[in-house]
Amino acid sequence: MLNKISRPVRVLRAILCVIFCIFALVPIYAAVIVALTPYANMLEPQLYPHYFEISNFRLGAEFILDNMLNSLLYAAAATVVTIIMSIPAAYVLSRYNFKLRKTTTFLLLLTQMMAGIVVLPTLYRILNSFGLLNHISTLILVYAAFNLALVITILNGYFSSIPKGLDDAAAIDGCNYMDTLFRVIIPISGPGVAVAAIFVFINTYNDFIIPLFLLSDATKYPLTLSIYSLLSDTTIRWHVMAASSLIGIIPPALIFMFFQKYIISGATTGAVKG
Amino acid sequence: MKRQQRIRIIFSLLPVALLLCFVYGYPLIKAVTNAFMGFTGKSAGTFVGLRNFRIIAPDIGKTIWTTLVWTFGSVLPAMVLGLALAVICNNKFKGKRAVVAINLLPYAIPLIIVASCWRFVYNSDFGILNVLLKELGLIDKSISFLGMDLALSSVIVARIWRALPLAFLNYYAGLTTIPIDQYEAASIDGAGPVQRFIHVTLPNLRSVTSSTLIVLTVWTFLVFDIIYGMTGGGPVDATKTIPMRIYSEMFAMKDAGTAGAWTLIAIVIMVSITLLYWKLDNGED
Repeated sequence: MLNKISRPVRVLRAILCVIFCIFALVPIYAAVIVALTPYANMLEPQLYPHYFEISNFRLGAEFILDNMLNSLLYAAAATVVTIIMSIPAAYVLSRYNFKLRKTTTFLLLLTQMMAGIVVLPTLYRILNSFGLLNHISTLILVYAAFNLALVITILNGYFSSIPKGLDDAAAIDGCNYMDTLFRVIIPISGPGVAVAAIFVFINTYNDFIIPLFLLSDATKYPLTLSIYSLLSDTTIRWHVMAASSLIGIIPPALIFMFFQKYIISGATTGAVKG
Repeated sequence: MKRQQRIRIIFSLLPVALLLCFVYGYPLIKAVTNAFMGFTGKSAGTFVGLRNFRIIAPDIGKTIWTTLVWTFGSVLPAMVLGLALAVICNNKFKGKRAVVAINLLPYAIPLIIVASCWRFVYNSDFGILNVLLKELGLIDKSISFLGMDLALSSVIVARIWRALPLAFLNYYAGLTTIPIDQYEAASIDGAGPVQRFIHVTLPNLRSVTSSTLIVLTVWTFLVFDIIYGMTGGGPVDATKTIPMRIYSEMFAMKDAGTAGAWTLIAIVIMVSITLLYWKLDNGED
């Protein structure tokens, strides 16, 4: 940064980078080896792939594709619901100073810190008594509830950075409250809405514990639940498990790659849970 | 106007408030009251005082210890490693983008797939770690990484793997905010790289460190998926943290009372940490 970096330091840096990358890739590399091994040869120790059984990926895809589609649909639906519910709430929090404002933001923070395991076992019993388990709409609403605090916080930050004068100017031009929000504020907050949407989508796609409690019908399972069903089989089909795990990683990994800049900006708020 | 404002505030916040009350508020209250209710045998549906806590008492000490080891055993190494990587990446060098991208990858993956992938590392037949150790001649017989003695350490390593990117990102963002003239001033005073790190870098990272520590602590102690997918809390209770206890009381023991008791313990810990975070976050005003 300041002075020129000497050669030994550069070498040390390169070595450390390699070690960090190896650590980051080891579990995925291990999964790749297993995914390329025929089931009959599974117990053979391999440090690098000895086989190239690409058909395992076909088995994995056949096993996982329907559930992956479920996951993508749930994630999309949860994203839309969460954003729609959050926009008016975040706007009010950014514009008005009312009595319960501080309490509201504290309670929101509390729900953001809360993990599923604290509420879900009891929520499961409650929903069960109302006969609301196994419904996709229940699932989507619970997903939304788990992401509301995060999205409201992100949007509140964006809305607060927009000068209030703009609202006043819009009012003078004859915009009513709704016009101001939807035709002035939201168009300027495009990036904020996008960041929030990306995080809800990833969080929902990655979530395992909510459907674990709310769904029992296997045709409705998201990807994470069917991966778990492989994990918990008495005789584990390792090759299918590895291949479908790797396939399942693709959507969030792609989103991370394309939106790396946004992810980095949102990470400080701990936007991807867990 | 005033009235209109109030109506707007209420209508904008009401849907959020209703949903959160149903998904968080009601179950939390229910879980807390369940902690003092009976659910088994004759006492079903009656107030039983502290009986549920007496039932779980023999396990409380061990479970809290396991949870503490799990939490701090993974959060602290993840933060130190994350800081190290952030310091490395704070300079420009060839291949930096690739290093950042590769090290962010663990953060993108569903936790249950994290568990699945680590089982390929630890497996005692074909797990790559055993294969490597044998190849290097360090061991003759496979180590059972998910067995009684090592299971907790093994799941902790998987958790470090997952938490490192978050710590890295926070420190990486934090380092860019340190004014460069502070380093220049320190250099003029004759400070070497190590002294600059201790006297300039670390003090400037104090607030990043505390917020990262708190967020990671809360989320790690309540992590369910990784342990559930790798060991299910076992063998026996080697990896039974508080979340695993809540789950097994509720679904293996079918006792909402003792599950409620564990939940109450978790809530008390979680709310205290959140209050601390809130104090730090709003410290200035």
